Amino acid sequence: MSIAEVEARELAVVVPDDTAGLWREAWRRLRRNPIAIFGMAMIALFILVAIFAPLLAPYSPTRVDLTQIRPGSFPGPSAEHWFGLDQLGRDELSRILYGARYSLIIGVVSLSIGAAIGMLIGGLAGAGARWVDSVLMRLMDMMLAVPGLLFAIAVAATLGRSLTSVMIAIGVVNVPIFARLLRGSMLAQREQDYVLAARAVGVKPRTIVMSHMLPNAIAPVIVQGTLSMATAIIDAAGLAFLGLGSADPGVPEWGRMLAETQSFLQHAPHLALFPGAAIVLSVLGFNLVGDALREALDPKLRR
Amino acid sequence: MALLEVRDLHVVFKRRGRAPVAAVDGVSFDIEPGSMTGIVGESGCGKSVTSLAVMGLLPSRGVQVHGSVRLDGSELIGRGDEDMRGVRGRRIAMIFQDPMTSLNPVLTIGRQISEAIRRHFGTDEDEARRRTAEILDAVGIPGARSRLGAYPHQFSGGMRQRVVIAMALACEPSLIIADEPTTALDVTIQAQILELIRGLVIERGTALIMITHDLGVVANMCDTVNVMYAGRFVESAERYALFAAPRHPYTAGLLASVPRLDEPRGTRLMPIRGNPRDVIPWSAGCAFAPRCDNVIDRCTAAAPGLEEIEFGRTLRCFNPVPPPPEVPPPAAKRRRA
Amino acid sequence: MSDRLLAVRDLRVHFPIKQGLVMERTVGAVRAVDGVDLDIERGETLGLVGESGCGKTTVGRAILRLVEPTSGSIVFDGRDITHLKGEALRQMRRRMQTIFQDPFSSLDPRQSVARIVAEPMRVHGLASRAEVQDRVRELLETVGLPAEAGSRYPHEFSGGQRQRIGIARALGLNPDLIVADEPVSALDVSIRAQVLNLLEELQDRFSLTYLFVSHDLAVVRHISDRIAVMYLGTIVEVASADSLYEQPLHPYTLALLSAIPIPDPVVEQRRRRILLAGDLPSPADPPTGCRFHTRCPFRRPERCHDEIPALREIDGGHRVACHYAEQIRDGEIRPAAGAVVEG
Repeated sequence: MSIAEVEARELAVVVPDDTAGLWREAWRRLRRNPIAIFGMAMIALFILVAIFAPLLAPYSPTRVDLTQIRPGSFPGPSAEHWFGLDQLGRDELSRILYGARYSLIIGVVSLSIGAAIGMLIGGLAGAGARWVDSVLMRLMDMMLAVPGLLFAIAVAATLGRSLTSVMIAIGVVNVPIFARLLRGSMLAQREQDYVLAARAVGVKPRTIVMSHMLPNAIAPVIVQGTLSMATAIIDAAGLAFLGLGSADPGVPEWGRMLAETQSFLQHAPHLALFPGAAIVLSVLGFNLVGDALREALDPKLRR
Repeated sequence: MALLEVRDLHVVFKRRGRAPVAAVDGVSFDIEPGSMTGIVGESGCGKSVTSLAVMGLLPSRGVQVHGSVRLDGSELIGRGDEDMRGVRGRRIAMIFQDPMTSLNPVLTIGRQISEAIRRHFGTDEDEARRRTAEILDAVGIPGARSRLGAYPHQFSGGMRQRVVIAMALACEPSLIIADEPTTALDVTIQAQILELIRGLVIERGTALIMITHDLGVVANMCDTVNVMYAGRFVESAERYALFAAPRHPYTAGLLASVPRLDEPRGTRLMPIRGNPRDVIPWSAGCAFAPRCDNVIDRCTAAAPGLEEIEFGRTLRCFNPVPPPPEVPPPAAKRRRA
Repeated sequence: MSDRLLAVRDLRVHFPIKQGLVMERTVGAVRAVDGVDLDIERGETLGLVGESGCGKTTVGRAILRLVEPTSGSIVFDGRDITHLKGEALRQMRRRMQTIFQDPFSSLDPRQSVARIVAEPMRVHGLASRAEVQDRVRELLETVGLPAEAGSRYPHEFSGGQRQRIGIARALGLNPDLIVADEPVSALDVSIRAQVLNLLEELQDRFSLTYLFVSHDLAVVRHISDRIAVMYLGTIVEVASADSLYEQPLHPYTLALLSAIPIPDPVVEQRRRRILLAGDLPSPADPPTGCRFHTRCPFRRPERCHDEIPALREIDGGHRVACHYAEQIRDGEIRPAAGAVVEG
C-alpha cells in the first residue's frame, strides 16, 4: 500500500452530510432568506390570480352596470363592489384580477422569446470564433442604439395597436440585453483553467460549451431574467399607458387602466390607485426574488 | 517601555447563521524601537488580521476586537477613525502584498505621497514635493524627480512595491508593518525589495514587523520570530535559536517539509499530515493536535499555555520536539581555558 | 520505443498585438517563446524554471497543443505532433496530460468530483460505465482521497485536496507525459510537501515522465533530474539538477540561486547575493543580442549587446547560452560594483 493510500484511510474528508451541487445550495440559501420567501409568495400570488381570475372575479370585467353611473360621480368601494366601479361602470376588482393575466402573458411570453433569442446569440458570440463574436455584437450594438420606445411605436404603427405589438416590442428590446450578458459570462468562463483542462483531455469543443461553460455561465442570466420580468411588466404597462397596447377598449390592462383614469384623479383617485398598486406589487415580488437570487447564486459567498 | 505593546489581543468575526470565529485568539507581544520581528504562519492563521487590528483597519460591523494595543504607552484599541488616521502613516505605516490595491490608480504617485506628507506635517506644496522626490530616490526609483507625475500602472510590480515602501516611509513612522510584501513578486525582485526594506529600516531606526509564510524570508530579515497557528502564537524565539532548534512540532514540521537549496537533493520531504482545516478549537485542546506527530492524550484535553522555556523564548506545547544534542564546536575554534 | 519521449526544436510562440476598432491590424507580437529546444527522456523529470514572463507556462501549453506554436517542431515519441488536428490530436491527448497551478479554477465547480475524474475516460470511450466508476474510486484512493469524495463537489475540498483531484484526473488515461504547471505554488507551505511526495511516488509507480514548470527553484531542484532555466522566452542554461546547483554558469542562474531565501539564518548571513539591476524587459520588445544583457552584472561591451549567444555545451550535458560562461566560472570576469551584496 502506498503512502498515499495510507493517508486516504486516515484522512477524514471534513464534509457535511448534506452535500449538494451549487444549484441545490443556492436553492437552500434562497429558502432561508425571508425577503426571498416574501418575494416568491408575491410572485405566486400574482400567478395564481392570473390563472384563476375567472374563478376569483365576482363579475365579468367587461360587464357594465349602468344603474350606478351618474355623471361626475364614481361609486367608491362598497359591499357589492369591493374596489368600486370604474368610469364605465365596470367592476374594478374584476378588472384588476383579469388584468393580471395580461401582465403575466405579456411579461412571460415576450421576455421568454427575447431572452431565448438573446441567449442563443450571446452563447454563440461567447463560445465561438472572434469574428462571429464581432459580427454578432455589432448587431447587438445596433439594436441597442434604437430607443425601446421609438421601436415600440414603430412596431405599433406597422402592425397596428395590439397586445402582440407590445409583446414584440418588449421581446426585441430584451434580445441584446441577454445576448450581452450571456456573452460576457461565457467569455469569463472561457478563461478559467477547467475549460483548458477539458481541452487538454480531448473533450470536443461543443461538449465543453454545453457541459462546462454554459452551466457556469448561466447564473447571472437567471438573475437578470427575474429582474427583467419586473421590467417587462412595467414596460407593458407603460406602453399601454401611452396607448400602444390593445386597441380594444374593454381589455383590462393595468397600464391602460392607469391612463384612462388620469382625467378624473380628483374625483376618483382609487381608480388610479388600484392598478398602480397592482403593478408595483407584482413587480416588487420579482425584484425581491431577483436580488435574493443574485446573492444565492454567488459562488464567492459559499461557506 | 516598548514602542508597541500588544496584550491579549482577540479578534472575533461574527458570521451570519453560524458560530463566530476567533481569527486572533489571545496574542501578546512587544516591539522594541528599531527591532525587526517576524510573524510566520500559513493562510488563515490570523497573522494579517493581527496587523489590521493594530492599525485599526478592521471593519466595525461584524468584528469584535478585545485586548490592548499600546503605542508609546497610549491605547489604540477603541480609538475613533479620525484619531487613527493621525496614527496611520505617521506613527505606524503598513505595506501590503498587492501594490495595486495600496496605490490609488487615478492619482499620480507624486500626489499620493506628497498628500500624505502634507497631511501629517502640514508643509507646503513645494516642500512636500521635494521630500517626495527624496524618498522615491531612496527607494531606488530611477529619475525620481521626473517620475512624480507618473501613475501606478506605468510601473512594473517591483517598482510599484518600491513606491508603496516610499509611501510607508515618507512620514517617518516609528513602526512599519509589512504584510507579505514580496509574495506576489518574482524571486529576484523579492531579493531586491527585501534588501531595500532592510537597508532603509536599519538606516532610519524604524521598527519592522514582517508578516510572511516564508521561513527563508524571516531567517534573513527578522531578529525575533513568532510562529502563529490558528490565532495564537505557538512559539516565539530569537531567530538563531528558533532555526537551530525548533521546539514546537508545527515549526519543526514546517522546516522539515520545505525543500532547501543547501541540503542534498535526495533528502525526503517530511510533510505535515492533514491540512490547515483540520483544527480543533483551542477550547477543546491544542489546535494543532489533529496534525501533530508528537500528540499525547493531554493535547486533546486542554489547550497548552504559553510558557517561557528559556530567557526570551516561549512555547505553547505539552510535548515539544526535544532540542538536538549539543554539537561540540570544531577543535580549531575551541577556546577553553 | 525510443528513450526520448519528447523533442522540441526551435519552438516559437508569438502572440500578435492587435489594434484598431473595426479592422484589426497586427502592430507587433509578444514573443512569449522565442526559440526553445528541449529534450525529455522517458521516465525523467525535467524542471523548467524561470520567473514571470519567461514563457515557461507557454512552452508547456504549446507542447500540449493548447496554444498554437508559431513555428518550430514538437516530436512526441517519434511522431511530429506540431500540426496535428482533429481526431488525431484528440487521440494524442490521451498520452499527455496536465496539472494546473490554481486548484480553485481548474475544476468545474458545477460537476461532482467523480464526474470530473471520469471525464477523460468517458470522452475517449475507454470503458463501460461500471468500469469507469471502479477506476474513479481507484484513482481517488491512489491520490490519497477516500472513495466517498467522488460524490462531493470541488468547493467542499481544501486547496491541497483539489490539487489531488486534478492529479487523479490527469492519471485516468495512463498518460506517458504529465506537464505539471506550478502544481504546488498556490498551496500552503505545509501541504506542498504532501503533493510533491505524491507526485514522486506516482512517477515511480506508473513510470511517468514529468515536465515540471515552476518559478520555485528549491522545489524544482528537489523533484527534477535535469533543469532548464528560462529567461524572456529562451533557455539560458540546461544541466542536471546537481550540476546546476553545484556549478551554475549563466549569470541569470547565479542571480536566481542567490536570491532564494534559505530558512537558516546562519547560512543567510554568509550568503552573497547577486542583485539584478532594473526590470524585466517587455517580451514584445526584447533586447538585442543576449536578452539578459540589460540586467547582467557580468555584461561586457564586446559581444553581449549585438550577438545572440547560442546554447552551447560546456561540460558533458551542461549547456549555457552565454558568451563568457567559462571566464565567469573561472573568476576572470568579476561582477559589476554594487551588484553583489553580503549577507
